[in-house]
Amino acid sequence: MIKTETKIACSHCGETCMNQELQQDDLNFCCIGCKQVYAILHQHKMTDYYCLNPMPGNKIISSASNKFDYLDDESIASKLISFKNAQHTQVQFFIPQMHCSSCLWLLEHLYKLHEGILQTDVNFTDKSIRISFQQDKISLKELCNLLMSLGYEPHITLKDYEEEKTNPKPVNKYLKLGLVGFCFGNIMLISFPEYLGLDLADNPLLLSVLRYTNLGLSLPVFFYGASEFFKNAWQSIKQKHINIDAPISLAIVLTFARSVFEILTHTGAGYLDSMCGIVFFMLIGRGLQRKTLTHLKFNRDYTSYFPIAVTVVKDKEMQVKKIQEVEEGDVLKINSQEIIPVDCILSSRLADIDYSFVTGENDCTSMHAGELIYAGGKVMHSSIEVIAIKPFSQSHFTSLWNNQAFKKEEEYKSNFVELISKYFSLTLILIASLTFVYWQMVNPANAWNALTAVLIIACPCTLLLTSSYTFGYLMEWFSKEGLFIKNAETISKLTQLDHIVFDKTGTISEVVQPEIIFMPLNSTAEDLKVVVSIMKQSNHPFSKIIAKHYEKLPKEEIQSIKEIAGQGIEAWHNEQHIKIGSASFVGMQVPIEISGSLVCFSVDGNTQAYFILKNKIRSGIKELFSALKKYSVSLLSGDNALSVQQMKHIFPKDSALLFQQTPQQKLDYIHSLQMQGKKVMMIGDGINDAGALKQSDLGISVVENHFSFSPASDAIIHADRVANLHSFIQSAKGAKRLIIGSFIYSLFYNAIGIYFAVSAQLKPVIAAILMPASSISVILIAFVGTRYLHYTYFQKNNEKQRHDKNHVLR
Amino acid sequence: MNVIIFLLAASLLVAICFLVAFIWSARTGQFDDDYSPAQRIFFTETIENENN
Repeated sequence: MIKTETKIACSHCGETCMNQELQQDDLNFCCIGCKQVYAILHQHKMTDYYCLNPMPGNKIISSASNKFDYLDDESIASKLISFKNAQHTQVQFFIPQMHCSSCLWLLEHLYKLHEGILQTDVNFTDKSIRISFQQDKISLKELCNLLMSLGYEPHITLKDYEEEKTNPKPVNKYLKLGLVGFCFGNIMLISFPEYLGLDLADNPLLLSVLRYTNLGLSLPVFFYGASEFFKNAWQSIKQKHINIDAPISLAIVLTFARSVFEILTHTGAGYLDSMCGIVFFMLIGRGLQRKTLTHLKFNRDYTSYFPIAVTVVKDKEMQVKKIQEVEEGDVLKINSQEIIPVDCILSSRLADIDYSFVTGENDCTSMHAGELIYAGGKVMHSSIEVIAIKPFSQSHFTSLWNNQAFKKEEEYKSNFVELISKYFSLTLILIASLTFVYWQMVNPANAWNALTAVLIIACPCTLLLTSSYTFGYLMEWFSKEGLFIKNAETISKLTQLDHIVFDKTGTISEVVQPEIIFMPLNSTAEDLKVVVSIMKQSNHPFSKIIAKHYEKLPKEEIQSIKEIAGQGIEAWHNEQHIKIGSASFVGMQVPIEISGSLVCFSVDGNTQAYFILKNKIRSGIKELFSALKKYSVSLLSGDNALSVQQMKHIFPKDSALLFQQTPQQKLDYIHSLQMQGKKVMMIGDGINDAGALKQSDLGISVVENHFSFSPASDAIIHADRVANLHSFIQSAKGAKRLIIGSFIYSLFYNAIGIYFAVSAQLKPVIAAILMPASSISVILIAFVGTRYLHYTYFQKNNEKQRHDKNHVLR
Repeated sequence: MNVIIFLLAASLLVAICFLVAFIWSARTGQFDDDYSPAQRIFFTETIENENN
């Protein structure tokens, strides 16, 4: 399909410009917000912002202008402020929209925009910013509004700030690594004379100096570097299961103890070099695995979605109150675009409330005074007043979070790596004890020697190394491909699934405007004009979509319009009776085979026509389902069943398609699947899937861009990469095979080592060659193997796609 | 041969100096952000151009 119209991208955010009226300095803008940002920057001679990167801006989403009013409240503001004196205030914000060097540049040059701002320090990795400002010249609220107007709205949740205070920032990960690396390198160097055969008889003084120096250098490795392995092992023993850290800790302690014994008794040099090397490599591996993106939060709950505070009207005075402190009977003023925090009764005359946040359904309901409003709805158009009937924690919406699924502690399930390590350790102990018994009978002097040597040389550290490096590399390029994994555990879970549940809106279909197909039947162009004019006055989402689509049609004055909730609109115009709405309301026969939502209209009962609103399905979804043949899939949607036909076309034949599901029902459905013994993966977006994501064995939340907020989940996937889901699963399985393969390979090294150990002739030099050699080769296998997996499952596809794209462009 | 003991002490001393420097830089947060310092180099240039 060739599109003839040329698309103009917004110079600020890069989105397609719908009309070409918004221009300044020969540049096009998609919306007033984007144009305003340009105007501000242009005025302050800061257009360098646009030179550093093409179209660097964030789309300006209009939010309530008084969103940050609560920052005037001292007690709330003081939580954000890290330092304050008579002139200066320093505050720290989390700005997730930060994504390129232009952002960095603009945020660091904020002082040019307002004289009250003194300095800004950006930490790009954490996406945080520290601003010093003069509170006489700019208030905290004004500062937030300024940032918001530029498209960098600070994300403020008090929970984050409280957490930060209770858990101080961990010491930099490089510190431990650097220290251990230093000790390891020096010990290796100092051990060299020993390797080359310096004998005690040659120079006893030199030898003991070398050995004691080594011992001194190994102390920080043992007590500081290896401490996390000891801690993990101890934790696992307390929980009555053995994880991989336990045998490793045993090996490290044994190696250290025997080395100290040998050095103190002047009987040998010990294996300190091997021990430090292993600890060093394992720490690197752990670091790789843990290198998740710090700015992604996997544990958001509903509180992150609600405003921090609301305006309470008391004795005709406005007062800001934290939502946790809202009591029954409080009168709240809620502004347009704000989310209703508690269950309440409407006291204003009329209100339009959008529940898409809770249900996922694109629907806006009109409410009248006295009606009950549930928490979680977004107020549209105008601000309203409501009376709270329940405190925040007991409202209908938050009750979902009281479900068992949110309370249960992360249950420990051992993964296959630990399963292997268990058998490995058992075999090892068996070999060690057999060796001990043998030497007791043949030559008791060698018995202890051989026993410890076996345990030292054959510790399952290669197993830990291979899994942590493989998972680490895998996570690194998964994130490059748009799937952000919470931890390595999630990758093993990815290999064990047998049922995948999809959400519709935002996951399978795009959230953007649906495609509109008009079937005129016997209606005229004049009829369409009238119908669209009627729809322009309606608030129903379908009407809005259609009205927007026919924006250019001239508007007719309509005399009388009556909206019937849940059915449609009736109107009288030029002596004609017009009905718009569902097929049954209009009284019309529609062919059953329609994929999409239907809006019909009739004029005087005989002229008829209808619109089909088709959700745009993400590209590649159909191919994804044919690739996922081995898995059973189902659909859980909060939306109405209108798109059931369209979904039936995409989904495999016998899959369950459930519509109009509440968040609680979604959770229950996942639970019922799990009761059948299935391993369920849930993939969805929005807070309405939060329960299901949490209940599932593996929850993936879908985000449109890196910086939108996702409910608690095990992984976050970029919306346009959902179609690659199968490739992700396949490469996780490939990684599992890779780990088993390289473990078998490392057994070969262990066999050589154990031969020397059992025969009681393990010299430090042999250990010093064998252990690093096996470690490095295992790391190499992980490095090459994951790159190969990446190539087979992604690069090939990408190359094909690139080729197709080029082809189309030409 | 005993001169090696002296050499060892000297070399360790130098190495430890570097270790201390490293620990200091890690503790003061010089490794915290690995993206922006590289980008900032380009910024100063553009500002100078502006002033000319």
